[in-house]
Amino acid sequence: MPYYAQIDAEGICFAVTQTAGEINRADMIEIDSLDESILLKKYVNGAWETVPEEPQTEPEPPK
Amino acid sequence: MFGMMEAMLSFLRRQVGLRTDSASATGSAHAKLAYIAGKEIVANGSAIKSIQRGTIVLSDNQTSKAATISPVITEKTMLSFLGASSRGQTETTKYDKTGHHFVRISLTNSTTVTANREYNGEEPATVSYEVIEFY
Repeated sequence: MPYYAQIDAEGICFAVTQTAGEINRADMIEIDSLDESILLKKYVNGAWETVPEEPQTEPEPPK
Repeated sequence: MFGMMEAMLSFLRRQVGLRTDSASATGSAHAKLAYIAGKEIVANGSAIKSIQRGTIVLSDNQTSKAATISPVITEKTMLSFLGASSRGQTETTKYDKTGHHFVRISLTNSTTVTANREYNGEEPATVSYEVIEFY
């Protein structure tokens, strides 16, 4: 059974799936296993690149 | 006496039938066996036609995301929720801290599993599922 990573318009992986059969879609990249570590990574020239997270703002302390 | 034996043998032949009888749910015993043996559940040794598994991430600004699967017959398919996870959040109200965790999934159509949540909380959430299709 094949494995796929699904990417959005920006190339970010938002799903990994073990399917019952082959799927031919431009947004479905065949991968070797159900590798969840590539989730939220960007697919660039056949490789998965980590996308830097935007820094979170700390909540203001109560006055 | 001979006539009665002949009648009984004839009855048995009709009931048991021949190995060459074509499959039928209402025919001879041979025909019924061929009918049962031809069922996909018996032929494949399982009532399960296919199993698909996956994980979907709702990124920090999303409340819905759809993943593609191989085609299934929705009437013969069940979708299992395997769990969801998300980071904690540093907002001030209780709803904000927990709302983004609660994710539900649905088999939207024959090739789509959709994950939804009411509130994104500006945090990603990850949900795993399993799609089991039966014959």
